[in-house]
Amino acid sequence: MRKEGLIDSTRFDFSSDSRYRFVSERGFREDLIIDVSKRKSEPEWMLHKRLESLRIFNSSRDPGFGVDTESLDLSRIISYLSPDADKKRSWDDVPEEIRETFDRLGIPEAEQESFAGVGAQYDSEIVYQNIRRELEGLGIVFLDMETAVKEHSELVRRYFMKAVRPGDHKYAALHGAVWSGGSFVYVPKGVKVPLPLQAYFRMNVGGSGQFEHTLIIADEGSDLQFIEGCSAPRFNDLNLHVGMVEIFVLNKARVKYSTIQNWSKNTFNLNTKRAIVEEDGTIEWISGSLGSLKTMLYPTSVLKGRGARAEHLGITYAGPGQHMDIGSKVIHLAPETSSLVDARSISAGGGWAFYRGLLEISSRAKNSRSSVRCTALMIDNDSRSDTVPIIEVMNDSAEIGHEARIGRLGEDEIYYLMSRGLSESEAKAMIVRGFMEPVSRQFPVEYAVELNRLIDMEIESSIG
Amino acid sequence: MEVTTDFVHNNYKMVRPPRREEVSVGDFADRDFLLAADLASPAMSAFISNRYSEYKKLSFPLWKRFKLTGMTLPDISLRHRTKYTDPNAKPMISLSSDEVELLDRLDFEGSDRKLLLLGDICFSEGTMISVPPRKRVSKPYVFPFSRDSRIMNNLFVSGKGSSIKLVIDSTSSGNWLLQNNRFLIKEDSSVEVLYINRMTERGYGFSNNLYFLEKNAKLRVVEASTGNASMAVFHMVLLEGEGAQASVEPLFVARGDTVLDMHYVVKAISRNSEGMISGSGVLLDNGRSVFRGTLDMRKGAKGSKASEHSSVLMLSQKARADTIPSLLVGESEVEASHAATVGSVDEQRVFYLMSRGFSRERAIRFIVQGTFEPVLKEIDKIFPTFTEVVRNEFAKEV
Repeated sequence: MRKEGLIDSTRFDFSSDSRYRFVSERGFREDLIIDVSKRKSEPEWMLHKRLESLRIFNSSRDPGFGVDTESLDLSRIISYLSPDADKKRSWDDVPEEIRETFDRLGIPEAEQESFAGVGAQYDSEIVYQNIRRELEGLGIVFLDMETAVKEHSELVRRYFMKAVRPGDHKYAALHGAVWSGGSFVYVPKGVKVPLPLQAYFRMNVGGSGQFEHTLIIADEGSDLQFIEGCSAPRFNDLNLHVGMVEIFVLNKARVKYSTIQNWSKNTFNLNTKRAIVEEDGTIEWISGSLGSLKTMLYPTSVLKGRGARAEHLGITYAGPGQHMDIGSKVIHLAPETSSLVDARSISAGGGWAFYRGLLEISSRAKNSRSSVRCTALMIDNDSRSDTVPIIEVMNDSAEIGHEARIGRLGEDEIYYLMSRGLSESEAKAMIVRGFMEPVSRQFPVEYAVELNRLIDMEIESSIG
Repeated sequence: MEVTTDFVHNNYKMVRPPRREEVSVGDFADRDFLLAADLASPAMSAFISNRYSEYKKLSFPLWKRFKLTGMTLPDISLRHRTKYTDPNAKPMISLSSDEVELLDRLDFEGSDRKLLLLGDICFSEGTMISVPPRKRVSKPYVFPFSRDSRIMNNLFVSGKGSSIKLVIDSTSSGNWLLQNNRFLIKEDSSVEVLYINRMTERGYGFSNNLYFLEKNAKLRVVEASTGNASMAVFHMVLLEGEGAQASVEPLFVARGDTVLDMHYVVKAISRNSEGMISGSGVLLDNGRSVFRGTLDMRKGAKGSKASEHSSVLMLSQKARADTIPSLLVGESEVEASHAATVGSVDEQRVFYLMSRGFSRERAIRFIVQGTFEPVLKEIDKIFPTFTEVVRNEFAKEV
């Protein structure tokens, strides 16, 4: 029997009959936020931060670009659902129906095989978080955010929402007000984490929102790979995901952050990810964005220290009914910084893939280099693919190159492959896999295989 | 009206950036517009008053990259009664109702709707040129801006199988100018246009241009922007007819505190059309360029090809280059690409030239001129009488 994969969509579309300890009322109100903060027994400063963010949210306008959010009624969203489970370090202690969910998603199995540690979030709270004991011994901290707020209060307070401020945009403010769950990672100086850490996020209730916060601090000279996956069953109600990832890459450290986003196609995914990179540090963003109804996501690298580097590799798939407004932002603030952006998109079955990018070379970023490449593949004639990169250069010693290309499935290639015995859809899928390969090979092999399989299925269903 | 970009696909729409308003610019009053309708034919008079009712509702735009803060509009000058000896030319102010209908058909947003409307209403000079079918006019029509003609509004029609050349030269035109040019390029006809934007005074310049190409029509636009005024330049090419072909080749130098905000749009609408945008420029002092190139491959434009390229050389630490290439694709059977580079002069090439006895300054000048040379050569060929003017502009600037 074929081994079931991590992101095969037939495996996602089930919801579990879970018990909840607490489900908040719909909408985002001050009293609800105070109540949740109490339930989490948070320190005072965090409640202040939440209320400050809520005030900003209430007075902020919708973004003047991107996907249309008219159908998203925020007053209908359940902001907080606490599963009836405490955080456990052993899967055996996780309540059975929740454990079953993650079993079906293949998380515990993958943990044993290929990860240094795993965190699993079920609706609003982390239900499982564990790191191999020997890594803990090196001083690596891998905790759910709630526990970190209490146990590493000083560190969290110093970095929490400092890369992305609540005033940055409406959804950053909303996140600041109602965030719940997510992971906190601290890698001490010079420690190289041998295997990736993984976080998995699952939404199990229609009409709910997930607002997890991931905070990573990679201290000087450290090295970390972090992988996040997410999924939800499909509901008739709209779901909302407003997560946030903040990464601080200190001098000479390196962080590789990989995401496979496979939210169900009733989800608004309005996510913010940002990394601040100090001297000679490196951030790598590897993204596979496949799910959701509408997405707005622009992972951002702020190259703050001399010699800092950023790489953004991404694949976006916009299938039937999907509008994916995805891009990248790189801000070069220091001399000798460099960046590479390779954005690929596939649109099929009427989907809309929109690449929106910003590359800024400030006047201080002397001798910086950047290369931005966008490639789009259109599977059929009902889909749409747009590319709009903005490039701003403010000094005379930077070298900037940009190219974009639109491709289609060449008749000749398909004909050739069919003459070799492949069916038309197999031939098309093979070409698409080749197109994605430079990005998909950056994922751990299980993920890459599953990414391919998922795309195959999507292509097959969209060309019918 | 032809909008610059429509933000919709199937049932989805995209959020349209809000239009922000610049309130510091004093606008004309109703009585200024009485002057604007002076001498107008009945059809033109109705056109102007329609436009004015839309104009009144809008404020001037607040742009992020080119600020109009504190801009003063020029006085509206009375029109002169112009006599044309050329049988193909007539004053815009006396257009017939059929011709005004064409003007309405060729309606567009421009760099901003307010400014476009201003040109449609308040032009002090305006000419319609209509070349009969199969007539080939080899001598270019030349439109110089004189000092008191600060707003110009033109309409050009090339009949089937005809060809025409135009030069629109904005030399010594004071510190404020605005031009609207609309082109209907009929089947199998060919139009070649040279724009020379070289206002000597510091100030503001606006240029809004629309080209509508029928089947197998050909268009070639060369634009040389130098001078001391900040400018918003907008060109939109509609490849409406099968097999239509267009190329747009801007050259620019921005120096002093000049901002050059340029937007070139090519929309491939029918089958087998071809479009090309290729720009190169040099920035000096605090000069700033904004190069926007948009290729819009519409559904149905099967077999069409389009490319866009821009390269900017930065010769000053304080210069700033913004590049915004957009590739919008709604048709899978097309070829489209864009590429952009921004950088300084290649030190290895400077070193090589210096090893051959050039001074550093001369070496750089040589390299810079080299970037303009291919287009300048084209100007030599198409507009030989203007080649010296344009070459001097670029030699003087760098």
